[in-house]
Amino acid sequence: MTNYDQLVAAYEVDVRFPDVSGMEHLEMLRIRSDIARGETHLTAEQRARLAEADKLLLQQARRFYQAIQRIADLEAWRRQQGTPPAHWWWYLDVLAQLPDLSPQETSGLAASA
Amino acid sequence: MWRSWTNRVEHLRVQIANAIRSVRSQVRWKPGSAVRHLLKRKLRGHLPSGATLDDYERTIWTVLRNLQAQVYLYRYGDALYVAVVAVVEQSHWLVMFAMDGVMESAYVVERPEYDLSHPAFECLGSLSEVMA
Repeated sequence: MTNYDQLVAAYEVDVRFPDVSGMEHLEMLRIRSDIARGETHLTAEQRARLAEADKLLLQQARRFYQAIQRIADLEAWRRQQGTPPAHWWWYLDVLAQLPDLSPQETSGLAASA
Repeated sequence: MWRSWTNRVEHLRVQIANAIRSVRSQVRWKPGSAVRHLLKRKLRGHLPSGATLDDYERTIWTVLRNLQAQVYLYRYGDALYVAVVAVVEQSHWLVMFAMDGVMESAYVVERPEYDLSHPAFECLGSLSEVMA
């Protein structure tokens, strides 16, 4: 049985470290997808923590993507895995191109996940 | 010109073994990255909260001395990395470094069958086979 609390906790840590290996970021994105697949099982408290972590990821999309770019072709990984467009976290290459998002915009994006 | 990727991998085996020996003798981190990696490992619960960099590097060496560890070659464009995976205290640790022996990362992979199934990872066999 999936322990969503552990997954959310792992994701919360991961989003605090944009400057480690891009390989770890790919694992972070996979964890985020695992959480999304079980989102209906999350408690309100876990959802709130997830939204905060999503905001951090969005705010630092460029730094996360720079680390990934050094070691992997994100678009190719996305394609290889058949990532659905709703899993926006796999589109850091696209998000990194956007002008800096305001706190309101990041909240809106994170909440729409 | 290499006739095939397989031929090139065969040729690279000596370099891969040398890279493993290099990390076995000394763990070399990118400047400033060791502390970040250590802190993340502790916060993720991969290492105890009181673990030191020496403890972290001992775990890396444990992986690199496990003859049953699986060795992978990871390629991205022209860049090649060695990835070694072994079970340490019931967790799958992945140790990844460049061909010059500089660490890329070392962390617990929760789903190695998923993370290492990407075509960019090529399994070369066990550590004992690679080092033979």
